[in-house]
Amino acid sequence: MDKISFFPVGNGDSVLMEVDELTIMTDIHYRAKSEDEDEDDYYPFRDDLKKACKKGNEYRLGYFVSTHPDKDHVLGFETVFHTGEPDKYKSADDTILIEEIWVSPYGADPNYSTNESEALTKEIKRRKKLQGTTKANEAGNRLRILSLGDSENSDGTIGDYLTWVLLAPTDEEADIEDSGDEESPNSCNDSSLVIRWEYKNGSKAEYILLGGDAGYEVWERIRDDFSDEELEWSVLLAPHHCSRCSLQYKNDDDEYIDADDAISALSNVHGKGFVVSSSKKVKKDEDRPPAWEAKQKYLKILKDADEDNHKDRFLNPQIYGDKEKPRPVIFNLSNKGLVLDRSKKSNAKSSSYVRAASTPATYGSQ
Amino acid sequence: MTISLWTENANPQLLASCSQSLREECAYIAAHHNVVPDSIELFENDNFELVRMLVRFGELNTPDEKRLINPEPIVLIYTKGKAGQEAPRIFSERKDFPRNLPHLNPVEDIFPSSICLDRAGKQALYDAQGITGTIGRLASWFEDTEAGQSQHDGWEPTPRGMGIVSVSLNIGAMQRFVSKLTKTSGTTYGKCALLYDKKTQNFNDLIFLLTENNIKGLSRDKKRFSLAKDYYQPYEDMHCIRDIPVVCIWASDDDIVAFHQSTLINSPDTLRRYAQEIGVDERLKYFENSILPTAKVDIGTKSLILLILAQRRPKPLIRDIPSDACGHDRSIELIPLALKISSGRSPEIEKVHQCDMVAETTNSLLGQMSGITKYVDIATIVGCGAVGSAIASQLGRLGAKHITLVDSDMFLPHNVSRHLLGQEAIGYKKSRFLKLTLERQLPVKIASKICKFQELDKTEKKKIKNNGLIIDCTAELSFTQFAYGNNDLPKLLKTEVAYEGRLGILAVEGEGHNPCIQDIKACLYKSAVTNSVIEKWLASHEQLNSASTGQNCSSSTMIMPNYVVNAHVSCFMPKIHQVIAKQVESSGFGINILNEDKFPIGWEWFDIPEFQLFVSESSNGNWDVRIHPEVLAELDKLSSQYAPIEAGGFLYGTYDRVNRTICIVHQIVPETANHKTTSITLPAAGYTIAEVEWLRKTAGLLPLLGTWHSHVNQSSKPSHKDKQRMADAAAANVDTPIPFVVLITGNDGININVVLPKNW
Repeated sequence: MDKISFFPVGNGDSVLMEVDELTIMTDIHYRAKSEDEDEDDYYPFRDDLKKACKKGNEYRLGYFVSTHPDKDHVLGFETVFHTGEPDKYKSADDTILIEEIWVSPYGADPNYSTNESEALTKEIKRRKKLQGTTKANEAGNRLRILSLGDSENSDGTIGDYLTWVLLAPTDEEADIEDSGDEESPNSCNDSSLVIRWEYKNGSKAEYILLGGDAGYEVWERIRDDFSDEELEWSVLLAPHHCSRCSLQYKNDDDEYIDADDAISALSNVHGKGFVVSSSKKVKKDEDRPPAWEAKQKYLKILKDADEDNHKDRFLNPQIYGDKEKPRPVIFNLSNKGLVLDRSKKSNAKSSSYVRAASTPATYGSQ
Repeated sequence: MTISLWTENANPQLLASCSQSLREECAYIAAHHNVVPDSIELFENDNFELVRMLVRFGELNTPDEKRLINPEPIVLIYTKGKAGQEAPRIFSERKDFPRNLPHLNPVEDIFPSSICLDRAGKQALYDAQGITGTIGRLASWFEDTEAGQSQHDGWEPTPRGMGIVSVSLNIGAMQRFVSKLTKTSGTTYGKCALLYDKKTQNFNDLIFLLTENNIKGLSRDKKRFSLAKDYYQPYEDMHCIRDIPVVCIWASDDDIVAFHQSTLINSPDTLRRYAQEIGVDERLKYFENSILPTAKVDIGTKSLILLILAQRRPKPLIRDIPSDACGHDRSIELIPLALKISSGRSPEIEKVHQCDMVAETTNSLLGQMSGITKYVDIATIVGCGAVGSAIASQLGRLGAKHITLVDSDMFLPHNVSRHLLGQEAIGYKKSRFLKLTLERQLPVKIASKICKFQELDKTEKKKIKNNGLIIDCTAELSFTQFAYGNNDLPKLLKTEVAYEGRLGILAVEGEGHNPCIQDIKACLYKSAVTNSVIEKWLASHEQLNSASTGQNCSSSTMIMPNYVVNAHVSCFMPKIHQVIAKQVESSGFGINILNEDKFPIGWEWFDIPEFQLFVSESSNGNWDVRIHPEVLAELDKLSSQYAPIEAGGFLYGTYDRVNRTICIVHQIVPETANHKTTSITLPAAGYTIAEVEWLRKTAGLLPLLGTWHSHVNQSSKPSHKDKQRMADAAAANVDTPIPFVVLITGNDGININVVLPKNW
């Protein structure tokens, strides 16, 4: 079954598409369980990812799309994925080999790297060095740098059912000025890859809009450059973990004002529409993102598209499970179109259909 | 939204006070991922137990059908005490549930919509996948309906058969005949034959025959009732035959109805209303007022007329309908109705009965069809479906002196494609006609029992015990379940033809029913680990392989040609002969594999040893835990290997809650278990490659059923820690309601505990 999964990772993105035996992961925010964390509050999506990527005795991810190299989009890269030459990949290492990496021009050559982004940056550099050689086309070495300024790398198809169109960044957006100070670098949010995916199996087309952390100026520019039809989405990943900065700007008095064109760019709902907030639970407090105000904007967009149960179509994987526990938000894709898995919110992490053995258990003579 | 029908006629029931079988069924329902938590309510009346619940399904982004709500309220109706064995009927609980969708069974207006989940019938689905699979299919039904994809290969006629009165006709010829005439509505007249059993003169099982020749003889708008007599000659020997008037009323192309009509047509009023819906009410009035007095033919105390309503649909009927009509002609839907007419000078329609419509035995139908055992309930030394009749014939030719045939079914036209009997048997009970045929052909004495095996009386069962063995050729679980542990029954053999005919399976029980059929079946599933054909078969289990035999989606059979049946029976026979002749004492299973083109790959036999039987007491009765001796040997070896630290792992197999049995056929020690001298910590199940591979290859049919661990140099009695884990398991398995085994090996042997979900 083709599907797209939004994993519960708190404020961060980890989105997996599985289509026709192809796997495409957009960003990663994988953290180990902390000692004081309750078992039920932590979702080890690595197991789901490995299951999706299993090819014979190996684990292979078809594409890793890195929207931008911020911590909340790259965390755990080194733990989950193989880095270095593909010849040295061993499934016994418990890692997954990425056949092809997609990045923006900024992601291919960032101004700085952090502890979290270092492994990815190094891997990209390794692959970049190979470009122009025959090795660059081998699975495990492939690298694609996407930019609106490069017509060869701004749209395409993957397999029989998926097409994609790049909406951002332009060369200008991807050109982040170096602050010269690693301690306070300039934000690279606006260099995010913004991609609209189209899934079409039969007569029904569905659209998935993934835009990293792109801010309101990028969305305003997108509004200018693309038609309503080109911006339609069935599922929208609320940019920047449901932050206000993709929908509003601050005026001179430090007040948030609606960026109407940005909101318009994000308001083209196809069908009933679903918005996924890959973030902590959205609360009406100062701990942003996610912003309660942004959620209200998305709810209005959903309500305008279809009033019925519109609040139930704003989804947050972090609280999607039973008793607001983390659970992936999964949409199945088929010739029926896009179908949200509304089955009971079990948090069972094991593929084994037996709850009695779904957590470690100690037996013994004493 | 909620209608009062259920509550008016049934009393609310508490889970704690309902039958054990329903309580267990409810545990599965409550744990189902498509059932809304805490939405289950129970009711009962004298005959039925009702489960009301909310079923949630996937939410479509772009639904075509917008009248469904999510979740949908559903009522399951069980015959009292039969949950777990008999499939429930499935109704919407909404008065305003749309009644014009595909795959709805016709019901009277006072009932809410009844949902049809599988062309192979609800019992076949329930037998194969239980209530869990049934509810899963229901959720898919809603999703498909919302997506407008429940009729992906054509117009799905509403299933109208009631299983008692059948009409055999050349569907394609009738569709072509009507299709030419639909510029305006109209009426034709003619005659068909009515067959019924000469011996019993039984009017309950009737079959109307309307062949292509008779269709040609239909006269339009002239009250001429004629019949091509020669056509029913083959039936004359054994049937009562009467000429019966047939009237066909069709709607004009201006009245194409593009929605389904699930109203039950079972009375003059509902007939008139349906006629109005399709625009032939004036034609029907004329028929009632002017035709009835001349058309009526008395048969005994009855007067019958066959009425066929015909209407054009917006697209051709689904491919499964066995009609050779194409394109425009194929879009004609036919609804046959048997009308009982009152006697007297002004005859009126007294009763209306919807008929099963089955395709006439034509060459093309025979080409399409294969074995017939899908709905045949056979429990006997030899069953009477395609396989059963072939085995009966083979046994007779081997020199068997006495055979008892048990089968309650009637022989229908489509059976001809794969059965030993031919079309002369149509309308007869299979077991009786097979008896007559074989006794004519062979020097064999045959007793024929027209009932289910379970319904035989004690004397008859005793006779069967003395006959030496039973060959179960049914496709149903009920006989196997009935036979389990029944020491009044002799050794049991079970045949199965599966996987689109590619697999012939023969299971042979051991002495004293050990290994039993359930043990053998678990071992057969386990062979998927090494046999890719078995693996593929198990992976395809979700789809029941069937084809319609008439226009009703409720009448279907497996697809395979007769030579496939013969190929498998030919391979079964040497083993059956060995067992009968007591040449070997082996128990186990044999598989005969054909390739995709149905060429033989080969027969292979697998011996299965006696299972070791443990009885575990539980809060609601004893459970038999049956363990493959190889598993026990492995546990023993591993316990020694790991000593002085404790060993442990997971156990896999099958279970049957009707008979309270668990069969364990496999164990896995997870690599990440933490072994210590007085304890072992097992990790969460389902993550190691060995576990994932096991569940994948066996398609989840041999699920995890418990854990085992060793007590080194100590008693196998559960420790305080073990008891705590068992309590945890009982609570946790409320979400996954299956029995959970905790097996402990110690210096005094093996201790087995069956932990049941807390809410059983």
